Amino acid sequence: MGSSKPISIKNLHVLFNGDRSKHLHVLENISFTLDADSFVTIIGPSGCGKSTLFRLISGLPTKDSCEIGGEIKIFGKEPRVASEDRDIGLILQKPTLLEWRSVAKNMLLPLEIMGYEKEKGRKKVNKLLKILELEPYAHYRPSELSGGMQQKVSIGRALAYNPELLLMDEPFAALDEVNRRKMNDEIIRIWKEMEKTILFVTHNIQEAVYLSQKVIVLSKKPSRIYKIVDIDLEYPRSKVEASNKYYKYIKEIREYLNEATV
Amino acid sequence: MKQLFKKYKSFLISTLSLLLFFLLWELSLNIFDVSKAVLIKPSDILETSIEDYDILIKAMIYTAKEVLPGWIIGNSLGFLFALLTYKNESIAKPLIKGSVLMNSIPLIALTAIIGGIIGTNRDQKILIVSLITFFPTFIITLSELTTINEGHKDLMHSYSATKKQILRKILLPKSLPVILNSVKITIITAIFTAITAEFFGGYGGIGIFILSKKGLCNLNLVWAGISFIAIFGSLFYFGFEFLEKRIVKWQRN
Repeated sequence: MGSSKPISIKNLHVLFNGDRSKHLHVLENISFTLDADSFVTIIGPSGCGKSTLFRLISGLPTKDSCEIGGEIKIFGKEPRVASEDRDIGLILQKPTLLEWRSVAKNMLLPLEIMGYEKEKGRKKVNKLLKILELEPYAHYRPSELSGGMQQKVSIGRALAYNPELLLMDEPFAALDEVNRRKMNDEIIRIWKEMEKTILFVTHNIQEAVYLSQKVIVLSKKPSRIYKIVDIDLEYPRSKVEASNKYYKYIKEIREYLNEATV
Repeated sequence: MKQLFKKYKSFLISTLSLLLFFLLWELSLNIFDVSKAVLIKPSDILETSIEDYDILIKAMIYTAKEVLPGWIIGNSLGFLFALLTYKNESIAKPLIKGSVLMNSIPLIALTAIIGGIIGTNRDQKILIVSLITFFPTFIITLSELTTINEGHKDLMHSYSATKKQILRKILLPKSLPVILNSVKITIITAIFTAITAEFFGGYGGIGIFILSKKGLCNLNLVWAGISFIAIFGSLFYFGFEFLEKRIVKWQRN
């Protein structure tokens, strides 16, 4: 991978070709980069094209009537190529676990598809189960777990093949406040312990400030980058949560979001 | 004890209500003194069934040898055709239309047509049963294999999974419970199809047995035949359901 940045986006434009001659600008002039081992969050009003941006970075297909300009590089490669090279781990809004498989077997899925030998795959999964503290649940089925635990398994599944970059699309949006906080602490622990680069999408300001080193605020459609805020706070954030500085960041981002939505 | 009761609750309730039903039947015939030509008592049916169980079982086995192969062939072909065509709409669509057409032919007409071509032998019944059971399993398997959860689709895309891997890891396991359900339901269809076909000619089987005893006005044996069909059907159906629950364990909660 050399010195290429995990994510580098230059002048990204996305146009949906509607039925009428009207073109809908979804994303306009988006440029940003992510450094290795950083934690960056994208926040924006709902329906602002966060999901489209997420799909483009992940190398997932978008709607066919979509015109894309500009450049997205993941470790210097096209997103599709990076995805084939297993540089990207996807964590989606819903856990999307296979209900007929146990926790351990769910985490084994990507390795099976990559053609790993059974023993080798199992060893990797066991190691991950230990790191994620999921060992006692290895043989549970997804339906026996809470929403937060299910999402944790889906994080484990994404980590199974050890990708450098984790892309997370509002993974904790469906969780209640307490569980969301627990999972936020977990994801910070995983990020530090495994030295990953994480791009996190959310619409929750608290979560954005609690988690990230940098918050990218998107405006409403056509989405541009409205502001990029560096969060200069130490980890774990639970220690500085009550500080003035922390609240200032939340207030600042809330103001930007309000301005960007008008 | 309480747990044991809970486990077998539905079984107990259905058995008891069935017994109650037979008891009421028996009692009301006794009380109102109904003629044997109208309705027979369960005790008479039981007596005849025990007396003539050997010929009844022989006839039932004959029919079972039509039902089982037909059911297996029909379901396997339905599954196989769906598997071969799910990726290709231009083949699947005419096949669906064809099987809809086939299934809208009345069973009587179908029996007559096939009987005219290959005779009213056992092969005819097997063929009819396979044609009838093919349809639901084919349609259901096809619709299951052509729908996929968007999240699973994205995930498999990001793993660069091949079509074959998506089939094996996602589509087949997620379709299994629904397909097994269809296979189970066709058990009943298969049994009544075979017996109806027998009514229109054949060389043996419980349908022929009932028909001939009816001709002789031996209503006891007619009813004994009917109860043997009911027992065979239930055993087959619930036996399969027992297996099904063991195969798709994850569905239970």
